[in-house]
Amino acid sequence: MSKVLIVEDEIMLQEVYKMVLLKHSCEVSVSSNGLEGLQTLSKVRPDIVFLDVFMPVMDGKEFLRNFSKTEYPNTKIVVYTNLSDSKTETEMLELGADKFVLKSSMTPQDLTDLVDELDDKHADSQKGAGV
Amino acid sequence: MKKAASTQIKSDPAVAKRRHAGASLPGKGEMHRLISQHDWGTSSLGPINKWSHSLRTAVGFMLQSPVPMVMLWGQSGFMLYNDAFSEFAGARHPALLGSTVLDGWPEVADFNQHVMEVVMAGGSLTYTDQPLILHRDGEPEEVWMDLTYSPLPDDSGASAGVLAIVHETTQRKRLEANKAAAEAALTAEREQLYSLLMQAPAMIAILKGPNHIFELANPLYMQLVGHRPLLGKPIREALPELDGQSAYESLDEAYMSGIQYIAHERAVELDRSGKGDMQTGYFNFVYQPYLDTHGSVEGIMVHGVEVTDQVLSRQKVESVSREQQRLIALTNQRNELIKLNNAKDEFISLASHQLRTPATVVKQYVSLLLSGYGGETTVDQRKFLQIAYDNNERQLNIISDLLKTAQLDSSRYTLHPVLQPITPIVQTVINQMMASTELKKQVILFDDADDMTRVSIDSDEIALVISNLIENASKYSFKGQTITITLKRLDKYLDISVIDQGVGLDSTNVTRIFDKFTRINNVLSDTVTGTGLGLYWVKKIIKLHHGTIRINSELGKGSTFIIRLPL
Repeated sequence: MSKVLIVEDEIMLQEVYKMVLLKHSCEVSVSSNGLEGLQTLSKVRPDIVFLDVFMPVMDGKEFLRNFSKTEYPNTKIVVYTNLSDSKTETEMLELGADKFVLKSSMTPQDLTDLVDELDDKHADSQKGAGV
Repeated sequence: MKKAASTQIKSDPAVAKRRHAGASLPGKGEMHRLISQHDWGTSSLGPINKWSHSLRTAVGFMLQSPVPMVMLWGQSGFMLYNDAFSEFAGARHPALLGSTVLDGWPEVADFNQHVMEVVMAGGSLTYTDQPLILHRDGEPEEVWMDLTYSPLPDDSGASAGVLAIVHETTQRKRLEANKAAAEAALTAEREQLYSLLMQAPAMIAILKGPNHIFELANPLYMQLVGHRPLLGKPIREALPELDGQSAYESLDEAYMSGIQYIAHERAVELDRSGKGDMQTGYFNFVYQPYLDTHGSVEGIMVHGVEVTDQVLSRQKVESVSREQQRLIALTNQRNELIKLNNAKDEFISLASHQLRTPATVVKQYVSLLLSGYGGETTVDQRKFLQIAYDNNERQLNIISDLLKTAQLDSSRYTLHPVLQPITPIVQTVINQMMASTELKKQVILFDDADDMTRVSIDSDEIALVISNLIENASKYSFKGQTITITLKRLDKYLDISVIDQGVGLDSTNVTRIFDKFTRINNVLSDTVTGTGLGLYWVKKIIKLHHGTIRINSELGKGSTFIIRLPL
């Protein structure tokens, strides 16, 4: 079972993603901005973070700057945004994101497919943990 | 001496009166009186009443003459003279009367000695403008005279004395001397002026008369005109290159009006080398008319200084300063435009984001309904939801196309090209498109998948282009038709063709197919959605790759898009 953290300020999207992922048997946490996201991160140690860019209080860029890859080596960060310029994409990947996805191009099905894809990649470590 | 003489005369008036009465001399006047009263008894002439006939006649003739005359009588030359001579003699008169010529004029004794010798021997002497230093008034004085000496015979015909006619020319000689001195001074002044003009550190020429004939041109002027011969020539002949530069006209006007003409930093084209090699110089000059003795304009003095270096330096400084100002203005303008462009980009990016967010929400929830998440749906409900979903997708596509177009229109859009084979990119796009083309039972043929030709391309952008072209081909083809993709390697290019068998285009639409917001009406228009921006940015991306894109199409027979990329 994948542990997923959604960092997203748009409540209607928080709800639909949470609904879809729970149905997909994920353990889901939700934060409304980067700062909350960092706090939740340390509590739940998620496998996947879906990170929005454009958020109040602390945006996705700032979240990545404060995110330590060495502290969370098994956590995949998917930048999940409606900003589609290549400048933002490059910047986020340089800051340590694993994937950059245009939110508006994704159906609920695409979202769960993506979770499965990423989950497969670190399935070994999960198996190793005896889940 | 004057006093002594009068004393002598008065000393014996009775004797004098007697002698005079005894043998009077013809004539009248002051000298007649003095000669008559003089006591000639002590001289070699003897008393007047004993004078020979010849002597009396000669004295009488002399006394009546208005011309200054003096008689030197006897070997000693006793002097008798007329009224005119008494004036010539100055303060020497009247003591001179009766004295010998050598005693009377001691300062010219040598000269008179010679006269006496020559004329007493029967000769005559004539001098013209003879200068002699005489002490007539006690001071030495240069006196010029025309002198004529001739012998006076006695009754026997032998020389007994000398008759001298004295015509003083001192005044005329002095006038002549003054005139000569004045002329010499004038000449010297002219020479000095000429020398000044010739040495002046400016270009000077003197032009005489209405045709402006060169009378003088100083070395600097000669240097200016390449040492062509000027003197004696009219300016129109000597410097023909000035024709059309208003120089002749200005000279004519200065000559006619007598008013000086001043030019400041005037550009003049001159044949400086004299070889027809025209050069532009800048000059400050004056045409100054000068007058003759009657006050009429005689000619024009040209005085000029070359200021070419100064003018060119100043023009350069001005031009540099203008250029700098222009650069500053351009830089400011550029910075302003960059700011505006950044603001525009930021706005477009943000606007796209904000427009996408509600559409994304709609997409998620409609998707959930369509996938049965909210419970069972009827066929009609699913049909209506699909229409809502499709149109929401259409809106998202429009937002993406607009954003893409805005990014490509911004000149700062940069590619990230990598030299790589193109077939994997094409193959990936085809795989992605398969799902939607299969719905229309359309087939995508790609027979060149093993071609390994490498091209310098930005793979994301080229994938977008291929995807757009395949999508287009699919949209404008009917169910069951085939879309073919071919690669053709040429010498310096790679041609990628996307060929369909669909509705095709007529020739008028072919020409505007790549324009912004072009949408073509055809049999499939009603069922096909689009923004009219796709082919516009396809062309832009290809252009950024230094490639070309063209279309061959025939109405009803399909279209072929050919991308040509440089190798």
